This record gives sequence, structure tokens and C-alpha cells, in this order.
Amino acid sequence: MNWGVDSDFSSAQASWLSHWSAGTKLLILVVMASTFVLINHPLWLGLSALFMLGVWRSVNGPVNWQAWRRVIWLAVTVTVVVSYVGFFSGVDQALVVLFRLLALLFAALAVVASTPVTDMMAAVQAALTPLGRWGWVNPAKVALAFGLTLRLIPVMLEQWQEIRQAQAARGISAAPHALLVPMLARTIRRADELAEAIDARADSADFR
Amino acid sequence: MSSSISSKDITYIALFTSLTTVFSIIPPIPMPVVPVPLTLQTLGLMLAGLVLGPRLALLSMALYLLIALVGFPVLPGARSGLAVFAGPTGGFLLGFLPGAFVTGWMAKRSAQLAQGARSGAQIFAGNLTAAILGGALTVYAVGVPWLAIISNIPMSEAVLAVAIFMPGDVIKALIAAFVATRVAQLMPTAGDR
Repeated sequence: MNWGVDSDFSSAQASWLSHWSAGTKLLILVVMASTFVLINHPLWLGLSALFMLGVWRSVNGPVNWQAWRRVIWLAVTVTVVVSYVGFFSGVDQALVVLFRLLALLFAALAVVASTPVTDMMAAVQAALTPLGRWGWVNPAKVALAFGLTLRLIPVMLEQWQEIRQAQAARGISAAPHALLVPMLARTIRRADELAEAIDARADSADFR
Repeated sequence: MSSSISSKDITYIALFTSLTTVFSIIPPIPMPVVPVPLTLQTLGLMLAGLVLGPRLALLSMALYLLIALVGFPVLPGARSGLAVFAGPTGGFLLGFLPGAFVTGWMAKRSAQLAQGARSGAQIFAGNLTAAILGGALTVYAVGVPWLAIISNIPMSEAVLAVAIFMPGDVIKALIAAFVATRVAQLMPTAGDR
């Protein structure tokens, strides 16, 4: 969930927020995400976005702009969504959507930047333990899938970007299947490699 | 259920969850006439069903919804949280669960019924039927009544409000069916079909 900025992601930096437990941060994120969606006022959302930007900056250290240049598409996504809303529902609603989006994004980035994925997995596992006692789910496996997904999102974004550039270089950027077939093929191949790596490393008792 | 999930299954689940996230947040395609930009989110759902089969596709979408619920902005427009599920479009998200299952089950069933090797066109036809009935109609079947109840509008109006998404979903089903057919031909052992 670092949106393609590896150096910021793989090492959660020490900061005031990294001393909080992962469970607390995830719980706060749930509450905040819900609140941001319920608020419908551009001013309050704007202030929330600014505040969350401040929080994220304070835990993230210097921003690597070279890395961020690779995720320009994120700005494109935001622009397209906001201008759509602006065109069909007016400027007020567009500002609501823009600020809500930024507030959520910075909040999630702040949590990711200050929490190692393993801590997040432990928090998910702890939260699911009651369900595990009833035999509904295996908390260790859900936690592994959860952490794996968070780690894989930036990897998959980069993979999509690479395939797009490779196909554009061949002059076939417009055809969706030309992007999607290699995307799926690489994804499936990655599943084989990852499963082998997991089996080789995670031979712990609670995972069996 | 949980004891029969292998590491391979977990990586498939996680990979298709992140694939669906990527499809939800890459720049949306502005649609002519339709007043909502089209994202590829349901393409992720359809591909999960077609490639992974019913069981893993269902788990993958459940994980996707869990991550959205926790607050990570993985839904289109970077929305997330409890309030999205309680809102008028929450039913469409919940519909992802039966949607993925039905897509996977139908694709699997059509392969079983054929008994033996199928031509590319036959696989495509089975995949397309599964993607439309599971990935689109099953999701609507949960989402539309939900929208009608939460927004307090008659069912007919809810159906009309959703109708603008149907052309996009048919296009996505066509793309998903084509891609899944190619993948089935290139990598016949992938997934849990």
C-alpha cells in the first residue's frame, strides 16, 4: 500500500507513531475511514486531509521524489474521478471527493509507513483468534494472506506499469487483452514462486 | 474449510486480491454518455472466478472486502471503511462474495459438463456465460435491492440507476472471458478450477 515507493515501504521507519501497537492503528484507521465517508462538508474534509498529510509527513521522513514520479498515475486517477464528479455534481461535491480521498490516502500511508507488515499480520491474527476458536477461520492463514496482499499491491502496480510500457514500446498500448494476458500469466507464475518461498520458510507449528 | 488451504492457495488468494485492488485504482476509463467513470474493479472479480474457481475466488473477494473494511483505500475512488458498506452501494460490495463464487462455480461446471478437451471457442463461451451471470447479474441481485432499501426508492428506479453500468460490465465480461481463455490455454494447471 505504499503505491510503488519501495524505499519508504520495506523499512517502516522509527517515529512517534511506530510506538503505537499495530492493532490500535488499524482500529483508528477503521474509525477514521468510516468517519471520512460520513462527513459531507468540504471544509472539514479539507482540514482532515491537511491534518493527515501532517501526520504522514511526520512519520515518513524525507520523501523520495524520484520514486514518486513513477506513481504519477495516482494523480491521474484522482484527477479523472474529481473532474467527473465536478462535471456531473458540481464543484462542492468534487471538493468533498478530493479531500476525502486525500485524507484516506494519507491516513493509510501513515499507518503503512509506521507499521511493519509482520506487526499488522500479528494484529489481524489476534483480532481473529475468537473466530479461530470456533473453527470458522484459521487466523494465521488469514493474517498471512492479509499481509501478503498489502505487500503485493505495490508489486502488482509496478508489474502493470512495466507491461504497459513494454506494450506501448511495441505500439499496442490500446488493446486491453495485450495488457491483461501477460499480467495474468505473470501473476500466476508469481504464485508458484511465492508458495515455494512460504513453504521453505514458514514451517511453524501454528501454520500447519 | 481452513485446514484444506495450502500455501499455494494463500498466494493465489493474495495475488488476486491485490490484482482487484490494482484494477480498482488504476486511472478509470471515462465512458461516453455514462456519467460514472468505468473502473476495472469487477474485472478483477470475474478473473478471480474464472481463473481460481469458486472456493478461492470467494475467499479472495472476502479478503478484499476485509482490507477495505479495515480502512485501506482499495475501492474505486480510494474509498474504504465501514460507512461504505452501510451506504447505498454497500450491497454491490457484499454481492462480490456470491458473485465470485457463482462465476467460479459456473466456469468449473461448464468445464465438467464438456467432459474432455474443449476448443477455444467453447471455453470462451462457458467463461463468458459465467462472467455475465456471476460477475454482473449476481452482484446486481444483491446490490439493487440493497440500493432500493437504503435509498428508499422503488425497485424499478434502482434498476434504472444501475442500468448505466451494464454495458461496461458486458465489455468487462467479454475481456475477462477472453483473457481467462488464453490463460487456460497457456497455463492449463493454474488455479483451482
